[in-house]
Amino acid sequence: MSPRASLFLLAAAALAAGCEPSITALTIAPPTAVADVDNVEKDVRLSQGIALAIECTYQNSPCEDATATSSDPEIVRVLPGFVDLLAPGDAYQRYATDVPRAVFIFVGGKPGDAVVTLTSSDGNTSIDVNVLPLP
Amino acid sequence: MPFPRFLLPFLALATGCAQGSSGALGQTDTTAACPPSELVCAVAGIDAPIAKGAALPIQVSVTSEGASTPPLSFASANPDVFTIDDARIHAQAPGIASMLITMEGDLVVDFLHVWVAEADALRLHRVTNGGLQTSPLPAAMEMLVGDELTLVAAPHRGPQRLFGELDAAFEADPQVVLMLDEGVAGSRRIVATAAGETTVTVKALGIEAAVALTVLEVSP
Repeated sequence: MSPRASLFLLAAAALAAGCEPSITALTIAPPTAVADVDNVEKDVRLSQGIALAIECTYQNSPCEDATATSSDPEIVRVLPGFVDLLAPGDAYQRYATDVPRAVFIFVGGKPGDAVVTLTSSDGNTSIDVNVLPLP
Repeated sequence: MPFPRFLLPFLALATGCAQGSSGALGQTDTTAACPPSELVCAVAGIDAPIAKGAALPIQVSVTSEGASTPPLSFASANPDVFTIDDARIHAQAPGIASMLITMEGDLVVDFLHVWVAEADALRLHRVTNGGLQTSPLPAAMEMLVGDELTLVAAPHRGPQRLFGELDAAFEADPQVVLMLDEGVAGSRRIVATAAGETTVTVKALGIEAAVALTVLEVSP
């Protein structure tokens, strides 16, 4: 493959990667627990029994028609979340938007690995979830 | 002196209008469910762990503007740490887990991380006429015949008073004091009936606490 073709493929891959929805943590873990989100690697580390709110965005707008499913609900359950722009606890940099935000609550079950598939009309993404036992 | 009721709204203001523990998404407030007379309890949140083996009735309100509180359900993210039944948290084992606050369709409106800890002491507190609880009682007290004293047993761990209602057993000499169960968990109203000495012993969570009472008679 010519260097020019390689460069073209690399640019195409970069563009394709940029078209995936982004995931951001809206909440933090309590002391001694873990709730980490890595948007680049698309993975989540979560302690057993701990909930974490994760927002799906696409080009800085809420993911449209987003749904999420877990490959193993015993390891991680995923529930839809409701975030109200007018709630007084405005600690998570809520921005004005005329469409509902796409928020999911990940709940750590038994320790292990599972995959959460997030689908939306903006694109799909797979999130590797590692649930850790509490210390 | 009983706590003046007219000061209670100012107490709420003094606590920064805190109405409970805010959920992780800032959309709900959770408090222990208290009688209206216990204003200190009503304005405080779940600001301590719940004692293992105890139960805590809770009250949750949604704080979104322009909306009253919808029908809610509560669920534990780890039933090994605590379970929830009929808006009562039952602490099962030391640890931490999230309490999910959901609506119909498992829509999560908020969640709160809740700690459970094992009590290492049981302390007795006096309940004043205004419903406030004093600091832990000394080892011995004196009463006059006809005096009344309301005691509540509270779980502690180190410097912290833990949350939760206890299933406590009270014992004392019935020749000296009467102990009335007024339906408040972990509490008894004690009425001194005759001069003498007795020890009020309270057992809960496998721990015992006691206060020695001397009942005196006023000679005419």
